[in-house]
Amino acid sequence: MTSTLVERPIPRMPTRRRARGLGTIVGSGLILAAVIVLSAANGAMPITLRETLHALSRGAQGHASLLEGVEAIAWNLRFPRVLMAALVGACLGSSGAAMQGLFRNPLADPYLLGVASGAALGATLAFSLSGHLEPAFSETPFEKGTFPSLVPLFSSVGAAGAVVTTLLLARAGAKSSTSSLLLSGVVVGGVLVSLTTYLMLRDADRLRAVFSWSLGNLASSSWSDLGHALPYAASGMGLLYAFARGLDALQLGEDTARTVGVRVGTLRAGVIAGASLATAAAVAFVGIIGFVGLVAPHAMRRIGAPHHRALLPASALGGATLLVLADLGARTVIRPAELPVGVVTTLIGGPFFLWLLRRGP
Amino acid sequence: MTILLDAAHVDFSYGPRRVVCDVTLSLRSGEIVALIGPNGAGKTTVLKLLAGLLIPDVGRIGVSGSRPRTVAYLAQADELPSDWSVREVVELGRLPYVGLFRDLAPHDDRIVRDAMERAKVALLADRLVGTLSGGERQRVTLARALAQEPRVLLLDEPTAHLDLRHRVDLFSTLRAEAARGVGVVAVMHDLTFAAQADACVLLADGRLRAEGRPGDVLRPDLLSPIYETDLALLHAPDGRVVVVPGATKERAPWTRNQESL
Repeated sequence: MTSTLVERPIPRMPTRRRARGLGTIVGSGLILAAVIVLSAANGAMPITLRETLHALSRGAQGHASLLEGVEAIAWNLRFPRVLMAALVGACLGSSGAAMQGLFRNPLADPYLLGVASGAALGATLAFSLSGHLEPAFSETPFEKGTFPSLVPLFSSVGAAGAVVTTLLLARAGAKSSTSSLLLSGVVVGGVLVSLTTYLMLRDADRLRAVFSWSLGNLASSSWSDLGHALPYAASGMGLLYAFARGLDALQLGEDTARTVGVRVGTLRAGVIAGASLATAAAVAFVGIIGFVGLVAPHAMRRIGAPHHRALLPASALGGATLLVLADLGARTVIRPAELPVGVVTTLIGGPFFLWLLRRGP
Repeated sequence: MTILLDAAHVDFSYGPRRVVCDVTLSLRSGEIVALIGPNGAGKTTVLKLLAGLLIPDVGRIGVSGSRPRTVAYLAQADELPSDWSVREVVELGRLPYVGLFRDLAPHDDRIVRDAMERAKVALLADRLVGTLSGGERQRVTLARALAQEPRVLLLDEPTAHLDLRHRVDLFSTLRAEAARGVGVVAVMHDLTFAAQADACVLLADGRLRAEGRPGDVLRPDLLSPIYETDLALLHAPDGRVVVVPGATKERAPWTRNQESL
């Protein structure tokens, strides 16, 4: 039989895709490093690039106590804040990519299973119980808010509780686990949001504090916060990466993935655990930041990393870059005052996402 | 010949509804088996049982060799991510061999290339899946299955969205695989294609109604009551069998033409 191949003009030749995935990761890493330094140098008070780099090298060598003036500010206030933004962005970006892969739905995001609403309820409870008041939006980055230490603990417990509830409800529901998971997530999210709203209205004094937290608050990030968040974030992202190729196979459909040897149940459990861990670590320390988990994976898929072994790290780097830039914007647009970073990500992320969609594949 | 797949007295129920009842069938090396029957007969369920996607309630299914390496399965509508290249999809067929962490070795790359050639998608290797036609996509999923180096190929309505030429192409590829010793089970709605298989298995209401050579199974007296429609078998000039619905009342056009001449 003769060959029946159809010769058609080839619109795009993605040759050496593996190299391209690696290039995307290396490129995004370099961009992130530049953005971190740039962001640390800018703020209510500009610090020269030289001073910033000097502070970074001295601090990294363990001589932070010797730093003075603006260099001390750069090391003690700016860098933890910027690195926290990067870590949180990385958590949201990779969790978003993994959730989109798991649900095979481009609209999935890290908050799908109720992590955000659970964390918000936990944080609201912590604010109510502690009686502390957080200045709504810090006037300057120098003023460290009296961030109640209960908030990270309560919000991570809330996040974990919400995900577990969603999973239990989905199990009790219909057979089709993906759609019942989505629906349970919506129900749990809705119930928790109304509980949170009720608590907030009961306690109008703390409304501003909770509200400011729920829009994302990086101002109070310290080196010790970063140290607390890192292990959870890293293990969550590591767990996701372990399932990267399983997520690839899942893109061909659940049955096909099973017949090439993927244990879909284990994959689902692992991805949900990893994404929830990373997202909860992010949300517990800085509150709820929208759109990063949705936009970063989409952008990275377009740039040339459609496989999860490239997409997950690329989305982490892209999410980190996005959030560091958003935080820079939040600190500088109306300086010396600050915008909540969640407002910036949504204001920029929304139109950017629409632009990506309109551009087509 | 070696028996590759052997299902004995298999029952399966979705909840209280029994969909497969006492099905026994076996697949030999080099054989193409067509699984036929009306909608809802349990064909897809039987195929999923053979693929190991469903576990029988009663009975057992034996495979010579270990899953997932031995058995490749093509779902009714295999989903393909549109921003992947053809090669990347086919490479997933190597997953049972490389696992979740190892990279493809040069040996795996060779098998991937070979599978693409056999499924006639080698020239499309670097094209994005989103730019392919339905027939091309079908061949890509077939290449993915062949990259698994299976001894058993299970296909669920592989010809459903294909035009005539692509159906012929697909069948010749399946023949070539069978010649290499692969056993093929395909769910088929097109009885004319089923007639070209080595054996037909007729299912209705989850039960086996007939099995054997196409000539023994594709008989109007057997098929008409099961498909609840009149059927006729016409023998085309080259000896092939054509199944025509409703042809008892109306004769095929070419016989009419011959009479009028």
